[in-house]
Amino acid sequence: MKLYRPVTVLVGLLFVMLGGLTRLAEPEQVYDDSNRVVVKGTIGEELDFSGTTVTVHRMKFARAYLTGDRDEKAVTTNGIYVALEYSTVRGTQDPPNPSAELITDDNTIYAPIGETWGGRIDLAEPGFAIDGAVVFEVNPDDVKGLTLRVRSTPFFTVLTQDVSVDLGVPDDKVARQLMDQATPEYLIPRGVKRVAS
Amino acid sequence: MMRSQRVLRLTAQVSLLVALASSATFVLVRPYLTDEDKVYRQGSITEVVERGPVSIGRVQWQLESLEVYTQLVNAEKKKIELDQPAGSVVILAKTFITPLDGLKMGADGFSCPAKLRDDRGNVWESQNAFGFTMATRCSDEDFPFVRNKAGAVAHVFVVPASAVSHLTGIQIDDLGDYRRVLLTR
Amino acid sequence: MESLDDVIDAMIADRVIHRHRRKWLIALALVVVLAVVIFFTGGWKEKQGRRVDTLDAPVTIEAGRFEVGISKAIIWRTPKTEYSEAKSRLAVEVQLKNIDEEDRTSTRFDSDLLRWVIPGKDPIKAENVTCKEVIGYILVYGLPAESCVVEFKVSPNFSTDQVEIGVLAERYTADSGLLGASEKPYWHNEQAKAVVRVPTTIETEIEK
Repeated sequence: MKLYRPVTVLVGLLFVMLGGLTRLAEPEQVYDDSNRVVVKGTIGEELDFSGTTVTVHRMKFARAYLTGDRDEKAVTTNGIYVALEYSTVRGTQDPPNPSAELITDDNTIYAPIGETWGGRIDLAEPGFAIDGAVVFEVNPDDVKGLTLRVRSTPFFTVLTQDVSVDLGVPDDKVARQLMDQATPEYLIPRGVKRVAS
Repeated sequence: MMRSQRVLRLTAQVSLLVALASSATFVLVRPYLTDEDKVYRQGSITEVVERGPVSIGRVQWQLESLEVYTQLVNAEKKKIELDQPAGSVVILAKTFITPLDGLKMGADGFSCPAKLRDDRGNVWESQNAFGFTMATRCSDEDFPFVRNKAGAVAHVFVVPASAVSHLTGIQIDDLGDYRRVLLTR
Repeated sequence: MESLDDVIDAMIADRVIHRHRRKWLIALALVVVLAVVIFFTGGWKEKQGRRVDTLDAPVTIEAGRFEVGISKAIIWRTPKTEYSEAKSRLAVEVQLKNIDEEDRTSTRFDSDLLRWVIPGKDPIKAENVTCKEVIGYILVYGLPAESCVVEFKVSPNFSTDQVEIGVLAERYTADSGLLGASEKPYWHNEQAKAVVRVPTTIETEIEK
């Protein structure tokens, strides 16, 4: 009987070590959000965002923007403005706290400008659509792999769906072209609500 | 003798296994079935009442009608500005609301929010329609409420015209009792 | 006959103290000598006051995920008009740059990272930080520094020729995972980095 005890202990130790090793082998899992599903797409595609449809129609580069207020001067930047014109069609569900950001291949994250129009992706009531634009201030030297990411952040940990739109900037050559074609001033359109077709 | 002993042992083992398995299942599934808060937040209706009256919280509700309008006008017959894109209509949910004993009623009345629901699960929140000839909420100074007396309230909604045939009724949420009541017409 | 307790006490005394008499005396003497030496060399006190460097404007400081340049300060006086009292504000001109190499994210500059240091009082927090006429401007990682203005509240007749502005820096660390917090690092835990002496001028502006 005495022979069993050390062996039992060793077996127990072995399992503990195995558990520790598996944790070491996949450290990313500790931080990665395993409760997020990402729906990937491109410009022009209708993508599902927890029951709401998000479509990015076009992307425009601009050196300055206007909000359409009276007596305003164009707001300029040392970088470049990227405007995404989009449509959202609201479904049955209510994606909690939707947020939009731009990401590049270098993992740089850009946030929308802090204006009333162009500061976020807007959603309407069920059955209604919104056509609008969201504008980001961006570093023109870091736009390779530019991707729009729309996430919802619920209060509870539930299975969440994010949308990732590839904006078609695969290399520096395309980035250069987009920069050269940038308009000097972009007038941010106000969000328009309409009945979804 | 030997066989009966074996049978006895086998029965004991099987019953122990069954007991363990069932208690494990119970413990596993219990948080999902009995967590009222979580179940409530999933958004499903807990009871359906035709027309009413039904007491929810300390307020009694009765649904009179769901009416469709192209626009709302005020006392001077002028159009009330609502966010109505082309292709949408205005729904008026006419209700009788009675504040019961125990309801906290301040100088600005009380709150009686109702949402409009359709058979596809879409839920719309009510809109503000200032100047309408009826009360559109329970906190309007022009239409004060008296305890235990019914008052007429018309909840205003804007929905796509295509949704009208799907409308089922108004939804009243009661977080305190984890009830979500659908009042149908 | 002594009691057992007394016997035990005697044993302990013998083994601990009597057998090591000399060592105990030496230790005691050392402590006394140390106390006397420290007393006569002025002792030591807890370091009060400023623990960071004091620099002169114009200067650029690396503070956490931002690069903060401080150039000058102006006290803007608004004369009394028909509709409003005379008032003043302290405007410090700064150049803010996002140098967040960890998260590489566009973010706002928290106005609490700049404090007005006045001797004898608690440092005063800034009212707001305005860049390109936008309060709470979002600074983009990778773009050059933006010219911004940090505003402090002052009394209408306040006057000085120099202000000291304290700069705080956040650190990129993780919470302790001991109590269950996520061990992912993030920018927080701001601490004093430097104090900048800024020459101040007084100018007048008309209420628009």
